[in-house]
This record gives sequence, structure tokens and C-alpha cells, in this order.
Amino acid sequence: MKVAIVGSGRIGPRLACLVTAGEAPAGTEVVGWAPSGAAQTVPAWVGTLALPIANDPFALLAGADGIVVDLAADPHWHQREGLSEAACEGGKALLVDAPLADFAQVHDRIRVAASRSGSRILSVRPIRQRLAMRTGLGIALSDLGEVLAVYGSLHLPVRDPGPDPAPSFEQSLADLLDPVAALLRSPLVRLYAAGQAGVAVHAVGRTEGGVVVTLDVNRFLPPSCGSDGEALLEITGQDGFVRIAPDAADVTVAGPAGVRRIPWREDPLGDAVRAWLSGAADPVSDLDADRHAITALRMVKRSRALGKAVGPDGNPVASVAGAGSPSPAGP
Amino acid sequence: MKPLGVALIGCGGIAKSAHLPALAQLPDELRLLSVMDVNRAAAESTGQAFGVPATARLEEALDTPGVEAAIVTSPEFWHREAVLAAADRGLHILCEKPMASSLEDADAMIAAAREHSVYLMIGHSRRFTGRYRVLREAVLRGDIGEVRTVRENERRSRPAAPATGSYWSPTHWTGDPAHSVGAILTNGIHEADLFTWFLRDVPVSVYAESRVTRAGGRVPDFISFTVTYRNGGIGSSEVNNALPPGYPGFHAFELFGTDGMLSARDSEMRMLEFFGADGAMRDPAAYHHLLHVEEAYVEEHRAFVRSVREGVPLPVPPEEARLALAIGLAADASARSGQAEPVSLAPAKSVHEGGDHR
Repeated sequence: MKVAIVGSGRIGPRLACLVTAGEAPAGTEVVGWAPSGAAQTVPAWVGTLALPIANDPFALLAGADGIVVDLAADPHWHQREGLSEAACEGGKALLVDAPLADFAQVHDRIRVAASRSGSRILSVRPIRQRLAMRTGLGIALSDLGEVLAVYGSLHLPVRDPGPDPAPSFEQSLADLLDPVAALLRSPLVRLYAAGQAGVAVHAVGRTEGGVVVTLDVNRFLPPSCGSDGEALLEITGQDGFVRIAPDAADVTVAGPAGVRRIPWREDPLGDAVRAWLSGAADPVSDLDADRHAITALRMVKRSRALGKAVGPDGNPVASVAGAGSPSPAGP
Repeated sequence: MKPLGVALIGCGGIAKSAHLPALAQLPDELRLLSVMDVNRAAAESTGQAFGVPATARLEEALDTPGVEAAIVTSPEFWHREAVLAAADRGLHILCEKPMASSLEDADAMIAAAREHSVYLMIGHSRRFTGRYRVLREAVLRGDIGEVRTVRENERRSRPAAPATGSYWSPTHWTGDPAHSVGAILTNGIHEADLFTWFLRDVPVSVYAESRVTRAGGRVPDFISFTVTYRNGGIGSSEVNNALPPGYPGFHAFELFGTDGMLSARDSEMRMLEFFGADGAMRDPAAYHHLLHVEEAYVEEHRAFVRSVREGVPLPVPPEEARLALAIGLAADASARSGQAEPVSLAPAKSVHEGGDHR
């Protein structure tokens, strides 16, 4: 496949590694790279692959079979969506971070375009693709009975831990929303979010089915923690409780200099890239969940801005004055 | 100094599991002189076990010769009556949490204590638990800088066979909407108090979602709530009493500051962890820092006696307990209204200045 890459996110470096290591499928050729905007620094891996650099990312579409839209969600939503839609309209394969868009309507347009042209979309979901997360979600969907509550947290380091670019805070929040949306498959009817902008989100919400969702995302992990990030999902059902901590599997060395963690080596990004390049079906690709995650992400942003609980439309939920006790849940 | 003579008001679960065992470990500090419960059989059973007079009449217990203080362990909807009666007699009071079932009751209790110049301490026992004392001392030393967020998730299981009279059942007061608003005051009040204790700022608003998880249940046994503070700090908690039967109850505590992190996660057997600018420490052997140990209530009683006998500031002044109650009630209101609700702040200044427990 002839592949073009736009942007300087986390996917490009991984793809470049696969190509230079000879681990990409036979016939893979990276044909060009374009920056996400004006005056972007050219990543070192672009030079390593000796890629031609295009000023106009849309110009890359003509000569490629597939495009990697490697743009952070914020502030590049518009360009990310535009390129994704153009790629799908042109019948190109698309590899992009989840979620597809900032608005559900744009998400729907991209999917319709892909459906008409036969484009293959694969959205990267680094948390849901972890083995522990896939295993745990499967158990939660089959063994817990009615899901009552979900708690999800993602703790990220204060500073970037390694050479690969760290995702934006909004992208990290989207990464955590993805497995939650995949589990619940039900829209949120209201959500409240608070926290320091760009650094922390504490959100509590409720789905149509009455499931209470609690989310914590922050960039507070100190360097002495020795961690690249810690995700956690805890799911309470009528018949059981599942705790999924993909980062708990590691070798930890604690000494006078601090704590060093040698994580269980998974490569969700690499797995996604390989699957896309080879045309294989992605075991976690789920664009319906993507749509719920988009709505949830918008609700978080609106609630934080307003300081109020909001509905799916982003407007404040009307306060129910003098309401009685919350309705009992039950069969 | 002679032991402080006390009347125990309420002979239910927390009295038997926590206060009476603590009393037994402090014979030089406290002496039980009478017990009372509206359930005469419960009172007589306790009185017989401890060799003290038992009664179903509050006045009789409080008027027992030698009684200098009351330990109130009844449900919170009865705290006001018991505390006002004790204060009216010049008795000092150690009262279980939550302080009351309404802010009006709490204010009346505080006013009565002031009027009669008696100590009123509320039993927020987590402040006396080893784990939280160690963490708080680290915060006060500045080990992690300014606290930005505090989270404690509290998980407990349902009984295997819900029995009449078990927690949250409709025949128990915790499950009766006439007397209980559910998890937020029954156990979430601990978190409401800890947030302010660690963040050391003024709570502004609360958002909560709750639900009733038990079939036939009538009050929420689950609540998730977030408290925002004036300085931007956040306290969050999921209080979950819906885990499957037999699942061990556990707490997961995380505290992030500008310069580091403190955590204690029972489920991972990580009792105490500290990550700061100078390095990391993990104390995996600190099992004594688990909750539900007698030590906390012994320390709580000892601190109460110290205040009464020596005039040391109360480690849990009633105004701080009122603040925890205000957070809890705002959370309940939020869960009903579907919107964030403001925290009602007490305007009055404490006669008995509070301070840190040492």
C-alpha cells in the first residue's frame, strides 16, 4: 500500500519504525509527509525515511492508497475531519486516532462517505486495544449482568516520558472514553465535569440506562513514579465486579533513586498500524462506540466551560427542584 | 486523673463493633456508667455485658451519677435530641458521624454546646486511622506541595442473603427514606470530611449521581460525587455498596499535589505509596494502616478525653463536621436535582478553636 502521512502525532513514528525495521507488510511504501499546519518542525523519522514533504496535505491524497491522519484532536479537529472525509470520499484507506470527529454529524458524514466508496477506516484505540482491557471488557459484557456503574481513570505523567510525542490532553480523555463507550453502548443523558483545563478532568454522568459513569483523567503523575501512564477501569454489575488494570502487569524496581517500572510490553499502536497496512480486520474497531465517545467528549468540554451538568446537546440540564429520591434500579 | 464517666446513648452496630471495644481499652481514661437505647432489649443486653445500668429513657442514662460525658452512637436523625439533652445537663459529648440529618439540627447542636460551654466532638474516625494520619502529616509537611485532587473510592459488598434488619434493607433505618438519604451520609460522609481535611480550603459546590442497586431498595446505596473547592481543588468519590457478596471491602485513595502523589490502594495491597520530587517510597508491610481497626476508635476516644480534661483543642470541631454534612446534603440534593448544588457554609465561628491532632 502507498501510504501518506499528515501531522506529527503518535502514529507516524510507529509506522516509520515498522517500515525501517522491515516489519511492515510487503509492498508498503510511504510516499510523502505533510505538516499539520504552518511552520511545523519536521520529525526526525521523516528524514530517516527520506520522505518528500508536501505543503498541502490534500495534495498527498492523489498519489496514495491510504492516508494516516496523525493530527492531535485539539487544535486540529477541523483539518483532521477534513482530511478524513476527503480520504473516504476518494476511496482511500484511513488510519486515524479515535474518535473520528469532534461532532457526531461529521462522524456520520465520514462513515457515509466510507460506506459509499468502500474506504476502510481504522481508528486507533490504545487503551481498548490492550489485552487486559479487551479481556476484561469481554467478561464485563457477558458475566456481570446489568451494569450498574463504571469507574475509569487515566493518570498520565507530568512530563513526556519518552521520545514519541505525547497525545494532547483531549486525545487522552478520548482514549479513556473509548472503552467506556464500547462497554455501555448507550448515550449519556447528563454529565458534569470539573478540573484544571488541559491538566485534569473529573466527570460524573449517567446513561440512558441509568449507569453511573465516573471518570478521572489527569497529568499529575510525578516523574518518581516511573510510569508512562496508568489506566484503570472498574465495572460494577448486578452479578459481579471487574477490575481492569492493564498497567499493573509489570516488573517494578524500587530503590533509593526512585521507582522504575518495566511494563508488560504491548504495542497497541503498532498492532493497529500493522492491521491497517495489511488490510486485516481490527478486532476493536467499533465506530458506533466512537459516536458515543464523541458526544461524551463534547459534554465534558461544555460542562467544564459552564460549570453545570449538561445533556447530550451540550446545554445545561434543567434542575429538578424538589424531586424525590432517585428511582430504584432493578429488573 | 480519674476516668471520665460516660453514658452510652445507642447500643446498635457501631456501638458494639467500635465504641465499646475502644472503651474497654481505655480503663484509665473512660468509665462506662450507663447505657441507653430506645430498644430496651438492646440496652439491657449491653448493660448486662458491661455490668452497668441499662434504660430505654435518655434522661435516666444522662442523669446517672458520675456521668460527665455522653457518647452518642444512635442514628443521625436522633443526634439532635440526644446532644441537646446532654448539653443542657452540662455534659460533654462525643457524637457519631454524620453529625445530624439536617443543617438546622447541626446548628442547634453547635449552639447548645456553646451555650452550655461543653465540648462537642463528632466522630469522624478516619482522621484517627493510621493511614490518613500519616498521609495528612505528609501533606502538612509539604511533601507533595499543594494538594490538587483527592479521590477515595469506597467499595463494599452486598450481604449474601439480605436479611431483615441488614443495612439498606427496608426494615433497617438505613434503608428507610423517612430516616435515611442513603450512602452519602451513611459512609460517604467520611469522604466528604476527608476531602476538606486534605485540601484545606472552602468547598463551593457538589455534583452527584446516585442509584438504588438492590431490588426493592428505597434509598441509594451507591453514589458518585465530585466536590469543587474555592482554590480549584477537587475531591471525588465513588461510594459503592453493590459489590457481589463476599467481595472484600476495600478503599482506593489517591492524592495528587503539585510536587508529588500519595496513594493507598487496598485492592492492590499497596497500603502506602509516596512519590515526590526526591524519590519514591512504598510501604507494603503497613497492614496496620488498613481501615476497620480498633486503633482508630481508641485514638478518637483518647483525643476526646484529652480535650475535656486538658483543654486541648478538639481534633474534630463541630464546625468542621457541619461542613462535611453540608457537602453530603448538597450531594444528595444534586443527585435528586440533576445539577451541581452549592455547599451551605456555616457563618458562625467556633467557641472551641479546632486544631490538628498530634
